[in-house]
Amino acid sequence: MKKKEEKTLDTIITRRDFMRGTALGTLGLTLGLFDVESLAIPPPVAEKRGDSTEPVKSRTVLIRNQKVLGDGNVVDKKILADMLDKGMMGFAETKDAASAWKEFFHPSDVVGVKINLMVTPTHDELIELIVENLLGIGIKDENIFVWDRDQIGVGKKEMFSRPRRFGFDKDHLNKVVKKCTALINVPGMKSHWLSGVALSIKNWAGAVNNARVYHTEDCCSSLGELCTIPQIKAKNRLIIMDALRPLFHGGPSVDPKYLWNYNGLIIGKDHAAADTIALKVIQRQRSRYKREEWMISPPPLHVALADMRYKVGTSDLRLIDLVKLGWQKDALI
Amino acid sequence: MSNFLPAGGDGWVKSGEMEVYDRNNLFDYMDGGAELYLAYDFQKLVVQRYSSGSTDASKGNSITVEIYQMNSSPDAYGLFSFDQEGEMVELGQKGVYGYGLLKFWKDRYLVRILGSQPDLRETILRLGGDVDEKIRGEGALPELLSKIPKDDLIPNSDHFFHKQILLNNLYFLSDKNILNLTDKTDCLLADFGFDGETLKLLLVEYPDLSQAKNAYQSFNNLYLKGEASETDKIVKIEQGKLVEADLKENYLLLVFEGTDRDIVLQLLDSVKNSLRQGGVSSQ
Repeated sequence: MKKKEEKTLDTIITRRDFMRGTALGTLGLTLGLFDVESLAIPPPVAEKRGDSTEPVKSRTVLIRNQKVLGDGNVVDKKILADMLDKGMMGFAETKDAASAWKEFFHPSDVVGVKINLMVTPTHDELIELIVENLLGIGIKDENIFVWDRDQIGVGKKEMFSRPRRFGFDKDHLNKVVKKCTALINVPGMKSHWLSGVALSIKNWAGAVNNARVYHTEDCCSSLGELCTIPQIKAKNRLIIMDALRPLFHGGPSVDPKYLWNYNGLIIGKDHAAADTIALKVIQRQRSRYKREEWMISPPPLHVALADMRYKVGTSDLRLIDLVKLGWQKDALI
Repeated sequence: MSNFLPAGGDGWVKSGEMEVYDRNNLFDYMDGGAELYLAYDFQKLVVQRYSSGSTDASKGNSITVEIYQMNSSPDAYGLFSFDQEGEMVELGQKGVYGYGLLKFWKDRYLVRILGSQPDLRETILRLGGDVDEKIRGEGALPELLSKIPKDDLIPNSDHFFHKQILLNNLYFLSDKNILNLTDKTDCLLADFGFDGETLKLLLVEYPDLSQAKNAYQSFNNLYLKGEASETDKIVKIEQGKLVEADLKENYLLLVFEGTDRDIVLQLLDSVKNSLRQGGVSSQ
């Protein structure tokens, strides 16, 4: 089935495929065009663990708190800290936050915190909390790099000013990636006029200096390739998506009428899974705003293709173990 | 362009240095958003931040003024028309405001003024007025806009553009460039309302007849599966929707979202008449 879908994608996708719905199979499912129940495609086959007959699902945590954004959308750092702790514990299935962080990082690690600076940037409070948690498990301050593109800060003192420039190697990858032993992907959550959405997969466009080659007129279908860059694939250990105040239309240039307080974080390790959850939320917010179906345009094909073509996770909801914590109202998923 | 920037006033002062971007480094300002502006033949951008009570825009309220210079006024309008939702304001040649964002176009320029809070409306409009006064000239609208009928046109629903990446965002047709759009094609997408039915018109002007014919054939083959014919140009597709494709000289006319054949034909005839007459009164 997947081979057949890939072949289709290599030919042409039209609006009519979306109108037909199920014709797109798993791709349509990812894009939220129809429900699982209406699919006439075989159940997904996932990697199995040990002797278990149950497929291993990709665990992804959505945690929200109604009060994390106050007047003027100012972040309550204490509440956000609590969200991050509980989200990490929910993801790692540990009893305390420090143990959760230790599941992914060792005190000897050199960690690159890949934030997003573009127009709807990762909130400073979230960056600071991530750095504090890394310090808390014994990672040295000088071994923490907060960065996007070629703006790099070393340690807590430089996490907001990011004054350093390491430059890019011949393979287009920022040298900071090579200095690190581990990476955390901390994207904002937003729609994007060229790729449909800009989430954890697209956040890696800020790790290279040839991002334009991925900004193609076919809905940026090859963005998933970024996750297959060996240094990124091998080192990325965590995704913490800033879903506090996402953008549901336009992007990356912000029109404030398309921002809304979702008050959430999405935590996982699987790029396709985290982005699938986020794009479904964005899709539902769009339709809620217009009070009619208002599809993400262009369709974010790259999320499904990250799974189907580049094999960097799952975009099939049936293979995503979504753990919803905290505030549930208007979770939209 | 730095002359167009407002001085501030009423406690508002410039915060930081003015930033200037051109076609080569616009990506430094907006990464993936740059293609949008480049698709409208962007030339230059100046950005100036303002703050109240402090020279540091990161503390307290802030306002960002962006002035984009395009190569032509139709492209400045096109960039403006990308999203015209909001409260209409009398600034520039056309302007909208909403939730702390003011946007207007004038001459070859698109001006965006974004406040950190929606309650900065008065200050944002005042700063916008300053910029408006300083841009002395006015620019022509896209010619294509004068070539569509105005009866039944839904106000502010028109979008002017050239390339596939814009069409993809405004009305996704295909991940492939099945209409052969380039920076040499002028496109107008607009909604028309008829008795509760909303039709979408896509009018494309190609450089010559042969390119228009090729695009028609490509669309008929790849989108309509070859079902449009000389005798019947309306094709019923999924969900009972009708699509009509037609050519008029070097113009490709496409109508989407119809459900009533008579209404689809009525719109197409109206557009063809308008083209035949060389356009009607401009907006």
